[in-house]
Amino acid sequence: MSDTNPPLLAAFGRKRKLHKEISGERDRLYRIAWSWCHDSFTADDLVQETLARALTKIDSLRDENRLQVWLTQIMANLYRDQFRRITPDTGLETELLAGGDDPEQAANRSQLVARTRHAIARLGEDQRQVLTLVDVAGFSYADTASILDVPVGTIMSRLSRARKRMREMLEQQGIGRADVVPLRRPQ
Amino acid sequence: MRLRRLLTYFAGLVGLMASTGAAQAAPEDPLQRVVYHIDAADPERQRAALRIVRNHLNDVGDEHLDIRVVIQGNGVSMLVLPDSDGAAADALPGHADDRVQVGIEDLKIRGVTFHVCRNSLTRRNVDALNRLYDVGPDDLVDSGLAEIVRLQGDGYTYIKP
Amino acid sequence: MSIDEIDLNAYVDGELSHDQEAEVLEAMRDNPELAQQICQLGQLKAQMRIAYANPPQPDRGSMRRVGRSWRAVAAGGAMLSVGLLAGWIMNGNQPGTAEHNRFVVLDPEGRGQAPAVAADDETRILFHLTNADPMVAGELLDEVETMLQAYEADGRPLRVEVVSHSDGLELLRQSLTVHESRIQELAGDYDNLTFVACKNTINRLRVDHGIEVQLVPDAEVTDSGVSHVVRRQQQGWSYIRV
Repeated sequence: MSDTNPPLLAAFGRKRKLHKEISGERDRLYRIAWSWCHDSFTADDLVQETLARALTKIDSLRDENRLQVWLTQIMANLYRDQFRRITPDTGLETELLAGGDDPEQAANRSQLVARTRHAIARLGEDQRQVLTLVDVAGFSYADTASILDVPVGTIMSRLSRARKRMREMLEQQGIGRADVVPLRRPQ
Repeated sequence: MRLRRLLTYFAGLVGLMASTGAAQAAPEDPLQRVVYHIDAADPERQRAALRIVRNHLNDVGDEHLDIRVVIQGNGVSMLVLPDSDGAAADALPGHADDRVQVGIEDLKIRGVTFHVCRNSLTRRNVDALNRLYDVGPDDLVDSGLAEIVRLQGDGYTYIKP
Repeated sequence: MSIDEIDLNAYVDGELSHDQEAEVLEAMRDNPELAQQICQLGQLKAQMRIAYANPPQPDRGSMRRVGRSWRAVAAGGAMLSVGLLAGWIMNGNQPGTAEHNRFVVLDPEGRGQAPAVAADDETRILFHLTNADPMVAGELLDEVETMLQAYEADGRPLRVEVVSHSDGLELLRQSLTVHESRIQELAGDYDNLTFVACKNTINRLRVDHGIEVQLVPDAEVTDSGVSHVVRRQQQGWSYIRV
């Protein structure tokens, strides 16, 4: 092993570092993917495909600080081109939420989660994506616009409509003005 | 996509059986020990094997699994970098493309250990450090088959995907 | 500025400039309804984060999918055979079973088993060869020989069986094998090494293809390669499929 070629190893090290960073984005991407399709298998496929795609075109990543936007952009394109039509149904996968100490609080919480997801599932695809990118992934309007390749103005109007629709649905389900489940206010 | 789903059924089945087996072996030990054997020359089967391991982790949970992947025989082409040069490049086409690399990287991050057979590399004149994707001296074992025997002796369940 | 829905959303999302934010705050003071709207938007935003903080991972829900389509059920069935074999493998691998410290001598005729007691520390390995590639078989023979040598040198007891089954039978077919002399040498040098051919495979070749299989002289025969493999694993042998 002593005759290893140093430049080769260096190049190898750079690539490996980027690979690590890309793989490190898996959880974040999965969360977004799942919020889009509500199906763990599809989400897992989508993320895996995204990571693989990202590595093949790693040279097109100009600015490493934009890694998250770049990856999400790849995922959005894949989702649009290949995954949308296979989304099995809007039936939501249920899950057991890790219960807190207070069972009542845990039950409220899991009900809130279920209702929110249910409402999201009934949004149109475009509105759902904008809403999840801004709220779940925390992207700015500008980043969301570049991920979905639409103007910022479109993002703003979609978002506004999506939230209006969400509020209507949640109010119908009893999570409305009067009995909002107490949540910590955003700072 | 269909293949992916099939693999999922398979992994589910295997996971279930492995968990049953592990429970019999040592009731108080929640850790499943599994050794996967990759020796296929076909890149499609090599990639499928990685997917099966991944699905197994998804099924059982990373923290419940101690997975070893022994790569041996014709399976070593999975680790050979496709664009690497060397006298043997024509004789042994490399299958470690980006897709395989991310698959391996992903499994390593999730705690899977890879063991690569030195005998198999020597027979094929492969320089481990220069032509293989992310294989260091610690990843090599003298004989992959002997390693599988050893692991089975230590209670690892053998799976040949 | 006149404040509309879009501005309120932008306010909640932190997308307004400082001046614009000040305007919204100003307007909120005089307009409780506006304040409540902003509060609701903020809650919705928080609700979204919570709803997707821990999405379900792909899990044993895989089983539930089997019911989704009949095609999937059929495919699942096809996989089942593999799974069953895996199950046998696993059951056979449990250390500490009664038979683990014993082995059964292979009856060359494939009829019944002659039990024998083995040394407790004996390593028993079964190689299940199903690959017709002579390179693969050759590599296997190399590995087997290396193991036999190493164990002999260390004085550790070892038994090895190579079970040729399906396409793997080629290794033991006199007309096809390229390893006949190698097999003869190995079998002559190591009496703890046995080559076993599957009779089912031989019969199938006769019935389906009219081929009368001639085995190399050192090959022994078992009725069914698969049951032999399963039996061996139940007896605690290490199993490797090649």
